[in-house]
Amino acid sequence: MKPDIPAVLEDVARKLRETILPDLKGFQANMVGMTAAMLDMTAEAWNGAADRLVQENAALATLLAQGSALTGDPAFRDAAKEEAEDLKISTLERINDQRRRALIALQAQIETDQSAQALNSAIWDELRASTERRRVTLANF
Amino acid sequence: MKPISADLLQTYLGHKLPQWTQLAVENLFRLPLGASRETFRFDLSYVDEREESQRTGMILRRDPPASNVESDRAHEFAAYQAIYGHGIPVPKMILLEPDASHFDGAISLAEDLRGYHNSEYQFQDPAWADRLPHIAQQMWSTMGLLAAVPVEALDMGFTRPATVENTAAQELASWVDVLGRHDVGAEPITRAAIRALERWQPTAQKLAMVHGDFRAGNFLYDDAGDLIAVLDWEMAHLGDPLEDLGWSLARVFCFAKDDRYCGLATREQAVAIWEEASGLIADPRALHWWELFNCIKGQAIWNSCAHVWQSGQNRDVIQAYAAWWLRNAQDRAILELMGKLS
Repeated sequence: MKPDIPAVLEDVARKLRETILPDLKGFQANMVGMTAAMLDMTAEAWNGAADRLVQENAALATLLAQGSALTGDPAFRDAAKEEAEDLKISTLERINDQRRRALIALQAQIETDQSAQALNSAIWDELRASTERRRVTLANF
Repeated sequence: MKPISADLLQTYLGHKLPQWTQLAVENLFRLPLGASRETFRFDLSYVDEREESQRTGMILRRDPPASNVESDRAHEFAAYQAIYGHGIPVPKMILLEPDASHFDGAISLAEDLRGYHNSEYQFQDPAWADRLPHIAQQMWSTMGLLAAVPVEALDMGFTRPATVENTAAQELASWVDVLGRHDVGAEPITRAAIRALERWQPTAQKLAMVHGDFRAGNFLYDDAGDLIAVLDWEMAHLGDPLEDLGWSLARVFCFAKDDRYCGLATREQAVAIWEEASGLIADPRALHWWELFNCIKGQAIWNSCAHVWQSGQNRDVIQAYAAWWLRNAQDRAILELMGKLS
């Protein structure tokens, strides 16, 4: 779409803040202020959303495969078996959720096992990286 | 939900308060307060039992059909009543209407303390910079005083029982249950934190009335920075007073985006003020547990925001906004507390 979606969203957000918000008060002002902030958050997430999910799904598949090798349980690898048929955000998010659920089960199983600390560290590395990928600039932290 | 109009409210109050005559509701409007309840302000004029004309500001709170916080009017009303008159300033409760049929949701009325501030963002205004140490002193000393109130003197019948030994596990189980019922996607970081919390829980030094949401934005203060009243008691319960201290030290409430908690004070300053006022010790291991616990509680609330919006139960903008704004920051806070952020 042209003009570019993030630019449009940021501009609409700015106009809401600068031209509409000053004329409002109370609940209405708060609602419009939050709406403008949500447009900014959408603009920030838009361009990188598919890339982030593709990176994350690949990293999760690797960790789950390592989990299967370590535990001898094929269920972890199988949880990452489904490949995305397309790059729709909804498809990538569904697969991401499947893999993250399997990762929870894997980490719960291995985190107190001293012989599995290399994998546990790798899981934390990916969780830290995924949190940074999803970071919201407007957030307090 | 049906709109609350001045006519509807006036008719209701006429039936509910027959001892007052010539009732009139004016200047009714909704305030931008919180995600969990609808809050309205209005002026009520009437002639009282002594035939004297009165005019007073009122606050009306209404339960929505679904909320990010599973509490209700009766709970918060009873919490306010329990602490009222025990040294912690709160507005006086006027009326509870638990029957949802009148306004499409239970309501409560309280006195409206006007002319004060409650904005967590005002603290970032340079004009307020020199008052921040005083406001911090007021906030954490009031929290400490709440911890010091003998809980045996309070009517805590509105909340579940607790012991010093079980309150941590009980609160954790409760919020894990909320998370489970508001699942909006797999959360490996939150689940890892829950497992860590389940391995050990602190024993409370004492039981206290825990506010449950004591932070910047939930108390009124005047131009001098004096705390006037503590608001939003809907999550109040019997528990470990360190829970409130831990909640106030949440990263997601660092509104200045720096190391000043609640935008007011460093962690060391906040803890010192609280310890002096409460007469209690903030044991580092126990406080760390409650800080991590509060990340789970926070994530459960933000997930509930997402869930009630996604399921169509509550489409207020703030539900979606809060979820977008807070969920990732809450994950980062967990990583920091678990030593995994870097």
